[in-house]
Amino acid sequence: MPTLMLVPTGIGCAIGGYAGDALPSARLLAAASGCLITHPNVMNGASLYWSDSRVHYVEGYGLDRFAVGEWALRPVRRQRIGLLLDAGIESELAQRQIQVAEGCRASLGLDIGPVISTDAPLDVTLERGASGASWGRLGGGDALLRAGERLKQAGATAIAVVARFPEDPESEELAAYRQGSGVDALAGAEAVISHLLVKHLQIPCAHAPALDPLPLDPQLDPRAAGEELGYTFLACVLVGLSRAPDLVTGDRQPGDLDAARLGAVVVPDGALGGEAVLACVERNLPVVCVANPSVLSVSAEALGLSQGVLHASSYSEAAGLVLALREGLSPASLGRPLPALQRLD
Amino acid sequence: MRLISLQLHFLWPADVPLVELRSWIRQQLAEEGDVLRWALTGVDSSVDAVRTLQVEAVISA
Repeated sequence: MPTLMLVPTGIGCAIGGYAGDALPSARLLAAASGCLITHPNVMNGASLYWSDSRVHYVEGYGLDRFAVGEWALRPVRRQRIGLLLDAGIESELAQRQIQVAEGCRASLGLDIGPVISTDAPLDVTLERGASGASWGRLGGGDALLRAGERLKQAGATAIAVVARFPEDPESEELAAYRQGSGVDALAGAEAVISHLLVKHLQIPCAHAPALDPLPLDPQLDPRAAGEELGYTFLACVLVGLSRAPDLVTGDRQPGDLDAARLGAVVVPDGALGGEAVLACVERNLPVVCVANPSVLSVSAEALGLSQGVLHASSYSEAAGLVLALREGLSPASLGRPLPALQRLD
Repeated sequence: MRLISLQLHFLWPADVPLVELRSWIRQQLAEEGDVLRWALTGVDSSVDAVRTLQVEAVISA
């Protein structure tokens, strides 16, 4: 039963707000559903990753278009991943990114290439919305798209983009994030970069930031640890993209996944305000709302949504609900007291 | 290309049901530019049942 799992980027979710720390939940939901469509924020753990043929790795812009019904997903055996580097990355740090790509070719057998640097720095700016969610912009959007076009023309069927991000190793925000209590300040700008590419090129794309290594933090939260194991955040992106489905904007073929086949959406209980979730509500899909605190409070109650909402206190419970739906069981039958039958007058 | 971050507040019209809210928000954002990324990040209800929507977005102009 195709199931959509969303953990919105940059809203500080207790599960999934750090370095791929929703990945165990995604693996469980993939097993329960048999087919999970989710996004890089869920699957990317910097140096840590997990590949599962039941999981479809779809960047957020493509995911929204899929949920709305405009695009479909076409599973593929492999993608040829072009590597797009921001001209603003220092040469040594850029070389680290290229070595990760070389390592993924040599040790994982991924099809990677060619590599390109933008013709101008991407000039990434970090921002924070009134809600507390992280957002961001880039000054070099045109340079990003020019480089992406060249990669696509050269045969890349997916693009991994690495942009130089501003950093302040002494900031309280970063310290809080590393100790497991803050919002990922980079995430919003990362989404803007990948959204721009996917919107323009309609091929799978995902982003990894380029940052200098941080000094050792003995209090590092395990959820953030995946980002401190190496020099780059790129390996997970390359693995995720290597089998990401094609984005189908035109005629559909047998075997394509489209939103009409979705059986459920699983989302943090305060994060129902994204386009994909609202599109699922339009389709009357079951919405599994998982207790997963974040800076947002856009709940089913706030939206006045009651029909089709299933509350779960954990992703374990959510997986049970998804399995019940997959088996055709009414979730109401699994609890007590059993709600009374509705009688129509 | 120029990317602009927006934080907007809208009154949720009483005649717009939840199943039409996404399209309605997109219509409002389209007046600002080409929408790249957006989310409904807050819903505030007043005592007289008027609901205010907080929407954050990045558009290109």
